[in-house]
Amino acid sequence: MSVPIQFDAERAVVLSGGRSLVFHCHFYNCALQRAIEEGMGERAPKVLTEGAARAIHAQLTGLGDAIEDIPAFAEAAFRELGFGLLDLSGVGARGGAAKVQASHYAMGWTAVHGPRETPACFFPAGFIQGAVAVAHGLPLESVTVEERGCYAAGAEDCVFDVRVSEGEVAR
Amino acid sequence: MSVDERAIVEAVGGLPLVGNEEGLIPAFGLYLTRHYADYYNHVSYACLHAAHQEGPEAVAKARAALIEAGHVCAFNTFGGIMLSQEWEAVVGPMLSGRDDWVPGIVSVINALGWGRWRLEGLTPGEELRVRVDNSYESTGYLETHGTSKVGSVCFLATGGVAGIMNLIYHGDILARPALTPDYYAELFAGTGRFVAEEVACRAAGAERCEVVARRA
Amino acid sequence: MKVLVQRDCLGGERIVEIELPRPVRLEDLDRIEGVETRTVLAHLPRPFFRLDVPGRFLLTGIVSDPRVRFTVRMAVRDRALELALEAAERLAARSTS
Repeated sequence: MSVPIQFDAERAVVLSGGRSLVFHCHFYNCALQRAIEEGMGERAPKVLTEGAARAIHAQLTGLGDAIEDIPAFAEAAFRELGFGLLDLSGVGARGGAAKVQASHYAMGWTAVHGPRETPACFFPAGFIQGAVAVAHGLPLESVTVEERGCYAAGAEDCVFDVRVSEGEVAR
Repeated sequence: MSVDERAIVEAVGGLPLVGNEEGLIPAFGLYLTRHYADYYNHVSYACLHAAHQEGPEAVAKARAALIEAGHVCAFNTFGGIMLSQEWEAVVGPMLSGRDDWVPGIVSVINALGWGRWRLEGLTPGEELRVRVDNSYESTGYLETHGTSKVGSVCFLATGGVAGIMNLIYHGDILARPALTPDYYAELFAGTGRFVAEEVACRAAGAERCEVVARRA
Repeated sequence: MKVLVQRDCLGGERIVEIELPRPVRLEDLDRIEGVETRTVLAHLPRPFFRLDVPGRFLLTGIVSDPRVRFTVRMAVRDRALELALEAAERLAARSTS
């Protein structure tokens, strides 16, 4: 496994980069996302994406120098943690396009709630945002990720546009 | 044979629950993620705090929705685990009756990284009391927001404890029912169901979290 | 060979449970090809096994129990039953030794 994990059996916690990892299945993941979307309406996408971006950012920061190739680590972590297959090869310091196949969130949502009109992959979008920011030394808020095709909304795979703010690109 | 929590945690912890080449973790008849507690906490508490800006009705609705997600988790995850081959092999031989299923599932939960759950009291068919010393919810809340001014915050644990009782004493998971939406509705919305309350929460100043499930 | 269940909580028909004509023995597991990760909790009174075959399936079951479960990979989901039955036949075949 590429993701360093420490299991403290006495406290029943699992840590990676000092951050807690917990097992949950797609039923809970989708139920929680639905609760947030229904409860927060238009504010939900930002909150869901931001939560993911901060989580991966904190883990990567905690792991620090233990990771040499951050995009490769992010792809491995995404797969090993059960979120699907992430391809960041089309993303650089100026942005680009990322792809997720077999997205846990998109497949899970479709299986539990059926297809939807809007994209479902807020967690993967935030994950990409956080990983790209750390990989290129960018402030988290300078990276935006938008899912332009989602399996849950009828696309074959989930595709994300990654943009880096003008100011950061110019630097 | 009594339930040996250490042996269960060791066995479950020893399973290679890592995403395969398709990026999925099939286990217990489910697809798991090894997810970020920080993510769950961020989104849950953003929702809770936003509700507090709106008023008591929104708060009640948000709390109910977050606990409901815990019910869904318990029904599918705990239910799936209790119907799995892993359960049959690891926990099954330690069970001598229905009441043993409660410490059995609590032991498995202690392999999930959620913090340590301890069975404080079980009155079969009536009440379950679980203490959580370091729930990932209260830990995350305290780290990010400090002491809670919005009451208890362990929604997943609250839904989970109710779910254990509903699966074992309101429904009959021992009879290996199909975990269908209809069965979910029967267990979590019907009469005689169990509901849980977090009576003490570390995030709100208590020494530890404690959740009690009783019939509605 | 009895097919017990075909279901998948991710929405496909990728989980195939099969009851073999006889209980699984530990040595039967050696006949499954392409295994990358083999886990056998041999210390348990009912030893649980888990064989991961990339590109095909995850096979789980309990030694001395005839029921086995195949969780077939997405990429070959259209052949889920065929792959499961083929492997189940291997599992239940008479040992040549």
